[in-house]
Amino acid sequence: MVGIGYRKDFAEDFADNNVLTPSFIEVAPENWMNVGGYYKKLFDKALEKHPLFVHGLSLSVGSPEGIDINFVKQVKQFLDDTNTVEYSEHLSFSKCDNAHLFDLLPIPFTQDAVKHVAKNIRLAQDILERKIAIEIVSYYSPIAAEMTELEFINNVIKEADCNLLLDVNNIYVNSFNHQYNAQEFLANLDLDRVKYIHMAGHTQVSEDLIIDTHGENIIDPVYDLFGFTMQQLKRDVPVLLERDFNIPELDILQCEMNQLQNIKTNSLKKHSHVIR
Amino acid sequence: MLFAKTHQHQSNLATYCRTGNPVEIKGAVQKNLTHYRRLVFNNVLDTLETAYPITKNLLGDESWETIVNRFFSTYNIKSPQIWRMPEEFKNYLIEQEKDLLITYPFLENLLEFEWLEIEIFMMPDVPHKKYKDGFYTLNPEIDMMMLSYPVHIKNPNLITEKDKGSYFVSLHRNPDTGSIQFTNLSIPFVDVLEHLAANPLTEKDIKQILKKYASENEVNIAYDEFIKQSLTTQLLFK
Repeated sequence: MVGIGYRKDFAEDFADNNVLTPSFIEVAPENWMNVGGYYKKLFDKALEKHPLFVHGLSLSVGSPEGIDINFVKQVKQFLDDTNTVEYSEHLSFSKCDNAHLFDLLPIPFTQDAVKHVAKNIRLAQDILERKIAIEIVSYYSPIAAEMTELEFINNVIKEADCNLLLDVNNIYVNSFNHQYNAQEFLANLDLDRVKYIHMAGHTQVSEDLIIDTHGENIIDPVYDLFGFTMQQLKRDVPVLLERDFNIPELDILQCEMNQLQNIKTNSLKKHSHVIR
Repeated sequence: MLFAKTHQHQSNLATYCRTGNPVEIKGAVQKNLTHYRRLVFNNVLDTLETAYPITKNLLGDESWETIVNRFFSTYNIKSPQIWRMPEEFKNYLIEQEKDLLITYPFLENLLEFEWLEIEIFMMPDVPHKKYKDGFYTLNPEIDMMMLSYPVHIKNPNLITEKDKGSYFVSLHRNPDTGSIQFTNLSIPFVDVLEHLAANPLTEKDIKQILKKYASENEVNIAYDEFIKQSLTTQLLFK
């Protein structure tokens, strides 16, 4: 399964033609909860043909003040109403001191933060009555780190007993920005918990920094890392193409989705040959 | 439990993103933190500019950015849905930026008008019930507002104190296109819409309401014009 992040920018074309043929679509609940109108009608039409994956932005599992229970209940209603297949969120904070910032800020890699974030995720999972796939976010600077990123992620995932959303582009971006080996990093994650994969493009802004923009095509090294990921996983996992800015013609998006499907198929085929 | 020092590190980063004032954060790469401030603030700036294009144009780029920065630095945004954030910005300006409201006495009306357009564009669908033949029903995806300045029909740069008065406008969502259309209303037609909001009305009912305000001849002309326009824009259904 290869899906696409559903965007208003191409909602009309998506409804009118068959250029894009994703296996599923993904939206942020914050953009579609408790709304109506023209785009909601197009979205409802898309839901008639495609399973929905939901990828949250504002749960803010890393908020010092904890999660917003009322908001989680609204998300649950949305997941139930739309028969959502998978709900995912970010390992970050976007709210602090009771103020939303609408971006994904890095949580300090500390033991107390592990406990705190895991508690928030468990509480959200209890209310939602489902596991959340937590995404490893790209980050541009560590904040008061007392352990490695890998230790932090593995500890949170284990303690929260949640699933993992593997954004392969984020792993690539982080490995570049913080100078580590992406394959080694991937191989040391608890891959049994991976339920979902994101793929996207990025923008290099300086010699030593990449920003995760979702505004460019996927580059070859990220495709290569995706192939490596599939070989490590040794099983089929839904993959999403994310494109938020600078959106090209739909046939170009479809080409990227085809490439993802081909890499996935070939990687898993290689694996089955090895087993035989 | 989260340690106070961990909370403080997070708070420092959030404060930097909100204010742009450099803060010391243990272990952080300062030159890379600037990207967080840039990304976070530009997102807020873009969202507000999209929500309030007329207000932004009135205030000018520099003043607009200063005001948005003051809002984002000092006000705690409550909504987890970014599209609702402009409503909080509007309320902040009305409650906190008194000097601005003195400079532009019509600003409150302008902000309310621009926000209402978004609110109706985004509002949950309201099912429209077909009524009996011969009755007019009101589009249920509608709101009305009373204004003291004609921000809906006049360039704000040209509005003066001489324009101060009572203006009525309705905004409704076209069920086919989803676009928002506004209707400048006189008091008799506000009366008609308020009655229609309660119950479907016949031609006779509507004319009966209008007769309180005008002669029969004037009523007939005004009625024909209103009905024609309202059915075209789908303010009313028959």
